Amino acid sequence: MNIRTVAEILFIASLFLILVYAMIGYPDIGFVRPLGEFYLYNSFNESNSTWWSAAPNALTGLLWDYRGYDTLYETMVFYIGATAAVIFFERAVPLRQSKGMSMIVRASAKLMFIFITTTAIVITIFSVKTSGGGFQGGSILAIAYIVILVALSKGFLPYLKINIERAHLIRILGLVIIIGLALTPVVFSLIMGINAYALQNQPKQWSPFGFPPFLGLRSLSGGNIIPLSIGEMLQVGMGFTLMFVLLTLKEDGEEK
Amino acid sequence: MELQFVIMHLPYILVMLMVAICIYGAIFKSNIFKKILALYLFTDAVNLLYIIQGFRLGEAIPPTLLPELGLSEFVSRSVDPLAQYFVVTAVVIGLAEMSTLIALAIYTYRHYGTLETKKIKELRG
Amino acid sequence: MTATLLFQAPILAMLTALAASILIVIIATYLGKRIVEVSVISFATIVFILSCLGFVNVFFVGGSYAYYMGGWPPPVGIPYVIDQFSAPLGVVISLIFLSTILYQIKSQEERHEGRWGYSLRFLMEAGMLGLIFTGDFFHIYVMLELVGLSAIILVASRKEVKQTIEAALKYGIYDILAITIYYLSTAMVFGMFGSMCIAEISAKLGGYVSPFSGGIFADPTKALPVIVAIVVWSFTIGSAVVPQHFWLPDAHSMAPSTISAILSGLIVPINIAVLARLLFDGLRANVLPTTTIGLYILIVLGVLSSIVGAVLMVVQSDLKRLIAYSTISNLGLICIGFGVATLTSVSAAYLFIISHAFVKAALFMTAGIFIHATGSRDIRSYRGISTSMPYVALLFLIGALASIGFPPLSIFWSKLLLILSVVEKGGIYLYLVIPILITVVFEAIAQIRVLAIIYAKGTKPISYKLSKIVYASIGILIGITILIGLMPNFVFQYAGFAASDLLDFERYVRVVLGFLP
Repeated sequence: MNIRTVAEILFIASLFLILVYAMIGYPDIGFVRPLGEFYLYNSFNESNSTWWSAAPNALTGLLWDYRGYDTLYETMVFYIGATAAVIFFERAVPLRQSKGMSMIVRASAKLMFIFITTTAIVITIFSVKTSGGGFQGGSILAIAYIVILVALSKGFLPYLKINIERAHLIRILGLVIIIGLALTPVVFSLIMGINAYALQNQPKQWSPFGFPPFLGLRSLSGGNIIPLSIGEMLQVGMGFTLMFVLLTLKEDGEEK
Repeated sequence: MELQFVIMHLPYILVMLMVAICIYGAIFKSNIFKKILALYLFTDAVNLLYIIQGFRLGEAIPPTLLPELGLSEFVSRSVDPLAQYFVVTAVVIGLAEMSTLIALAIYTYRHYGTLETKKIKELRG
Repeated sequence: MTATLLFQAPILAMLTALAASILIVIIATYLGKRIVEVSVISFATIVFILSCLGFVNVFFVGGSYAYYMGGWPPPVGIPYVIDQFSAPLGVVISLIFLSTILYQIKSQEERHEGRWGYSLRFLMEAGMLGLIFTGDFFHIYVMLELVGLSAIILVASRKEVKQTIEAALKYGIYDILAITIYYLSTAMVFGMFGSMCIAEISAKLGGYVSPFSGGIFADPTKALPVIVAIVVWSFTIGSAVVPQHFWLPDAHSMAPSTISAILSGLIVPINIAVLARLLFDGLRANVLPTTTIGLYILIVLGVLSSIVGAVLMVVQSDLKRLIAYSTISNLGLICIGFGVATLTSVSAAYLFIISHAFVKAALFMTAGIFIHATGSRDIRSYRGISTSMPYVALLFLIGALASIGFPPLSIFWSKLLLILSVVEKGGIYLYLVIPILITVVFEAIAQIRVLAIIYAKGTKPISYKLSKIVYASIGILIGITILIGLMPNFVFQYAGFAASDLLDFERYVRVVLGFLP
């Protein structure tokens, strides 16, 4: 127990005590602050249509409507994370088809892939109503590819018509959707001369631009939330897939 | 200090304990992997702090307005969506952080053969 | 009113940078090199023009305003505040980016980043623009991550060189630690104030009760000092203020030249500018005694930084490390400027940020040319390089003189204004003149030593061809440095506007929350 360890422990102990001192001043846990209740009250409140976000799931409304700009940049941060894996581990190695896959294996793999992808899309689209969202859907979409990768080895991926370049393209497509929807109100405002702000969803008293809240069915709502979630799903799904594929490729491209 | 006060603030204190331990790990531990792990647990601790502050006592429901709930019941029973929003954002960001740091750590291991900071000291001055 | 280009310009600038970062990947994959270069330059130029439009709007047409993202007023949504403090910085950021992009395209340094390099650079630009324009506490966390992560990856561009990876890893861990500590402070702010809007935090500390988010939920005497301490701690780690500076010399010397230029010239000072915005406009530093202690801490750390940075400059043999220590020293002075918190000293700090950005970027880019021409980072191998590259050496000469504070170049006026402000405040602040003078002396010693080596006579010439665009890119920066130096009254006026906007939190609250009766 030398002097250095004592100094370190003292430092951390005093940090801890300072933080606890701050926490003493905090209220008891268990109540929701008024801003949260505002979001809960207004997220799907048609009678208060200036402040609503057409999403019964208040969290999704927050994610893409009230604080959508935050989520836009969070998406770009995830893009950077996947790009880190790409920059550090990308090698120009084609995914070769492995030999001798029996037909049963191929068929069942394709079936499983379709099921998992459907789950991903459903979770993304219905994020306006129940828990879920673009990011969650994207993770599940990546699982569809990863399951194939892990269970059936990399040689199978060409059967699914995916390779690294195409993954990049889909990722970029997802981001183009999101940024395009963010830019649309701005461009619209400049052309038509009406008030509109970036990433705006529903029309408000002071800014009459908006997307249609109900896409056909009454139960499917959200204005531009659903397309934004789909863009996020594509981006995140392909990002995760890229990360896993690149991290399991060995130096010389052998299958692990 | 009465028991009620302590119990109501105990989650805060535990979270701050976790924060302190993680900061200790991130600064003073000499293995790169432990530092990275401590950093991620630090983010997790702060996420916990958000969730604690957004919690509602009683029968809490998630912030989704299901058709069978009336609006006033929903508002009075649901947890704070704002806190959960911050956690969702931070989880995604933390993932990107970890991806970058781990990629760097892997490269460090390839170059130096070790993950001890005391041995990774080629740069002087 | 919002339907004008002037109004939407800064936001359009950020969205263009985002779009550019995505589209560049497609263009680089499928189209040729020429088209990539042209498109990169045009994107950077568009962002620059849009930031200039924002500047014009604030100063000549409309005045400061708040832009409500998604149409939601704060605290329901995220506001962006375009005022006299942030608009000039936006122009500076986009201009330096433009010049580094020009340099990057035409320089002969090896390109290790491939198509993702430009993508990350544009994301870094978008992140920095967001950092200074934003009015939301949590949004700063997201922007810090954006800038930090792209910077970490770009520092590690030359992955084959082991020192680069070591430097990037050290930088990465320190920076992520700083950002996560900031995240902790956002959690505490959420618990205490219930909203994340900086203007609302400021208003609530003055007793305001918001119709959207209520009042204050925690005890200010217990929670507020800790929040201030954590915010200051987080930004001082991220800005390499002594004693948390160990990552900066390694990271800035190992990164490619343009990345060092952006890191040293832009990211690190802008972090302190954001800290100043938070302390003065958000946490009411001049008025609340608890926050004022944060300012005192800034002064102390600033003094340490300036002296340590300047002294360590003298013993360096690696040119980039020398310039990096100069950054640490200048940052110390900027911290002192913000810490003293009078109108004059904040103007001095603001002017210092702007001049430092141009000078440091120019220095790093010329250093990059030297390094690539001779293949070595050691100063002693640049002996007599001025005979082979007279123009580059001239650019470096002006940059080095500016960095010392040689009149009448830009940094001279900043240091002079800083000394004047400290003298004006009087009392114990008078002693702050000592660190300022120490930095001048030691930095002069270090830079003159370098200049003597560069301008020595009698060595064999090196042949190195440089595209005119590279000269132009550095020339822009040096030219602006000279211009600022020659027009002190003009820049003092604008720095004064920026400082008055920063210190006047009532005005800030009115601009953001002005829609309320």
